Amino acid sequence: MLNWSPLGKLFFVLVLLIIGLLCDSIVVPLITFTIGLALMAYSTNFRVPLILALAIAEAIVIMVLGSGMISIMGDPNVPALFEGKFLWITIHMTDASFQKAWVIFFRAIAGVTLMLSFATSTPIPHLAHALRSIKCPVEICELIVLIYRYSFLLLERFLVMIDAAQCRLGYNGTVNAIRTYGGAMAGTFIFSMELAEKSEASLACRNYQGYFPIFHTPSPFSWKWLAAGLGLCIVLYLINIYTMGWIDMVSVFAPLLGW
Amino acid sequence: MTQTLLEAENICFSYEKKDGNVLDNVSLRIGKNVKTALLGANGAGKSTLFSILNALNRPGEGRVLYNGEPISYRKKDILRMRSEVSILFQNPNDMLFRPNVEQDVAFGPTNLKLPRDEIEKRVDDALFAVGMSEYKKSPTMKLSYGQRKRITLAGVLAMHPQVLIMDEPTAGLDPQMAYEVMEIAEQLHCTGVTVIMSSHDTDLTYSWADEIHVMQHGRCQYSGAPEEFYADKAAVYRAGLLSPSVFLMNEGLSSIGKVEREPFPRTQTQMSAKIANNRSGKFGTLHILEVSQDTDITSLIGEKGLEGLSTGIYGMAARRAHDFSKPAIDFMYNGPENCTMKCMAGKDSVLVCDPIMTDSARKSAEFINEGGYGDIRIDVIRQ
Amino acid sequence: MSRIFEMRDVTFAHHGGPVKVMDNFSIAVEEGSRTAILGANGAGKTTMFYTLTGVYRPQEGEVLFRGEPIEYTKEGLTKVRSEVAVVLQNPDEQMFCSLVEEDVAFGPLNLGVDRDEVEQRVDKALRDVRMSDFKKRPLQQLSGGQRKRVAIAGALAVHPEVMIMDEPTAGLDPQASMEVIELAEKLHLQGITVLISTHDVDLAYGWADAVNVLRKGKMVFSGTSEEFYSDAENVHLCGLLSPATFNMNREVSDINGISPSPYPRNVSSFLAKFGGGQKAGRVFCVSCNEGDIGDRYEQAVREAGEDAKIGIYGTDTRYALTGKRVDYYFDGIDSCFSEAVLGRDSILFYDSVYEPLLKEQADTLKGFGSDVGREVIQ
Repeated sequence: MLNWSPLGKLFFVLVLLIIGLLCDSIVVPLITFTIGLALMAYSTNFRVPLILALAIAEAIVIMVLGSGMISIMGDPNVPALFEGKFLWITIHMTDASFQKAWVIFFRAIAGVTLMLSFATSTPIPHLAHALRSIKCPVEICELIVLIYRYSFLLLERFLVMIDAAQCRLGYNGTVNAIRTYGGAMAGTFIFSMELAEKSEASLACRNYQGYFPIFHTPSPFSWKWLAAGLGLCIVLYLINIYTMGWIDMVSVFAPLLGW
Repeated sequence: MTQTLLEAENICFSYEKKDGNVLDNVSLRIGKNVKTALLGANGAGKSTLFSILNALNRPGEGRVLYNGEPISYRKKDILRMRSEVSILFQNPNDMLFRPNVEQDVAFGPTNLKLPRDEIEKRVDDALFAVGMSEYKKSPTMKLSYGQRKRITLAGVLAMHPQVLIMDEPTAGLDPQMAYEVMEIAEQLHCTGVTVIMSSHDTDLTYSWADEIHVMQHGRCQYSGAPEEFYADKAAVYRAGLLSPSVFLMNEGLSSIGKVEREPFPRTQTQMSAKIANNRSGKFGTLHILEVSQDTDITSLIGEKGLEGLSTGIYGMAARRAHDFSKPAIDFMYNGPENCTMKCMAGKDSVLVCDPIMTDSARKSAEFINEGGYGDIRIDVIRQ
Repeated sequence: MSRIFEMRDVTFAHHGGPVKVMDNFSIAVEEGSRTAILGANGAGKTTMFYTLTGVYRPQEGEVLFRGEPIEYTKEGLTKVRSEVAVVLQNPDEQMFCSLVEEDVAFGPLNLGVDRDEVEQRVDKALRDVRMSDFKKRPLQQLSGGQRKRVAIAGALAVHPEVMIMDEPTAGLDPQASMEVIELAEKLHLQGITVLISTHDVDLAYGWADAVNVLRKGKMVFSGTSEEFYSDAENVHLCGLLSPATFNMNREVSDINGISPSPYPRNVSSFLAKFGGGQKAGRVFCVSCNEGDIGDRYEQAVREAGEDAKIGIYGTDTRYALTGKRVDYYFDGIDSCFSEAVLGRDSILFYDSVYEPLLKEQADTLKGFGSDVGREVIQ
């Protein structure tokens, strides 16, 4: 997936996102979610890194909260599934609001997985290259590449400084600890300035001509991507029409909650 | 048998599970006040082992014993241990936390919550020991790499550690500065600090260390005297190292019976003495002149009637006294070795020496006398 | 020989400030030479390299490349830099891409080399530094030593006429350092001018034809190593110490009452001077083209005898001989000739490019009175 065209991937992901938003059937967001999940598993070689898993978990928590809010703020003129008061919030959950919350939940989570599948399969330099090909200003592209490279160096430096501070008892007491973090951050900052100063000279040594060349250019955007994107779009829209009202979340949950 | 100070027992450690073990069942003992070198190629796990010995990382399996007791990893115990075991990192930029030299050196002692006067005294002493007294008020940013290295060394010295772990202490330093660092290490050894250093410079560690531990792919492959290890060429190759040139020369010459194999020479001087084998019977006297930091060297030399001889200098007190009265010195670096060599060539020499370093200053001359390569009279002048 | 680089009375200060980093500085570098630049930390070695390649423009004086002053225009600088590659001390400062192969390709792509050619160069350069397995890895996953090798590969891929290496062995373990020296010798034998700045006086002593010593932004010496180290006062002022081999030769010669000259620069010539006297042994030479040894290992052992020590010089050969009995994996030339000096036969396997080094070493040893015979195994 690393070698797929970045622009193609971007187009494909955006198309899926948009169609997911346009459709009201809950089946469509479910399908896009499945596609996103599959792509992400493929791009990370079926091993989702811990940090990514945490990010996804956090996103899901936020979305659950959001969807929860939507589900309990139904139209007050319609009979409620569940009613009550919690603190100052009036809870009024209806059939429609419950169903809507689920659709939105799946749409959001499908969006997240799709975007992540794009992010984990596209190295920043490829992204920069893609941006350059859609006429994004050169300065911004170069900056993205350099920041990406240097962020690793700075992080490395910061972590070592934290260790070094421990060896000199830098965390003996809260005030000390705060001062130490400050010192380490200042050190990293100074390092970044030194790095920036030197990078100009070392870029010149390596014959930098004003742009970052890419050795293995990712495949360009082709009509296949366009066809695949639009094709999938049409299929999903048809599915949307055909499956409208297929899955009613209320009836799914009714036996569980005694509605 | 020396007392074991730090001990690693079957340590296994990995940063991330899927990457496999960085340290794989490492066991080693570091004796109290034994000059210890940790050798190994890039990526053999030396720095990681150090981070475990100092409780920066907690091993997945196995345990670390300090003074015979397992490290408890409770915050209080770790703090106490770290106040006794210090690490000097390889890159000085990683260790500078304060904008100016004085404050940075004071960083450790301040964290120890020492009284102000004590901190001030320690900072001054530590800065002197590394020859940076005049930079006390300078901003750390303006210093060169070598100067920064000295400042970080001072910062560690100011904590008065019992154990000093130095990660590649001479990397990136020019030869004189590297020598100074080694002299400071020797000085610390003489004052009772256990010094452990990692290095790939086998020539340098061969002349200094009594015991070596060789790391290879996260395992400790050898612990013991250096000669036994270097004699096994295949093991040296596998460990990514090269044998010290002094060792190779000795092996070459002893294989054709030109010299005897043992005693093994550890320094250039000892090797030269072995090869030269001066049988003329004319040897000089090595005058070891013990001085304190406020001795006037020039007048003391005059008083003892030692003018006109080649002079060398060795140890912190001697350097401080030299700084004060500025006498002419022939050998600012490698004093003991150079002075001994003068005696080998039949001339007398004077070594201005810190009293606690006297024993280590006589080593090369004693090696020569005991091996029968010469007969240098060692004359220690105490005050 | 012509001068590839020359600096005449150059004065340089950063941003035209008051501190002169280079002060009335002159240097001449012969084409195809092995030149070492020595000096303490902060003596101005790195600044000198930047000035040579036109990154810094001196306020006074001129910098000549192939006899012509450098033009500080984009075309002029590209002309110089396309022939000059620089490896900096800290590899992190000169790496800008995220993958190993991308970074190695960075230099040649900037010069507009076409892609198929770049592909070949990248593979070759990574093989030369033994990093082929890491081709697709992100840089942040590499250790310091590995990054250094990638930086060197990046310089090799430019196919320079001049290779400048700033402290190439700092932070590398001894075997990796030996490989860098082997590489430097190879470049030299291919006619490339090699400049190395270093603190490692032992290393520079064994390698360099000419040394240039810097002190506080001034050139204080250029000439042969022995001439420089004989002036103890100057060595001391420059923050250096003299190399071990040089010291030992001087000391032993002094005690034995013989002339310090000729000066031995490596173990074999030192042994020839002080351990010699016996009839020299033979070195059985096996030249390996791109690691092709065939059955010559067995043949050599048959001819030289089971006891003969076996040495290697060159990366390709070292790989081809993995798993075989070898005594000297590194620095095989010096070790095998040492064996010969001590009167024993030995076998030397080497990459064929290093042929001239063997002749050079044999000639040197003749000067020390040891006539080492060379037997070629076809």
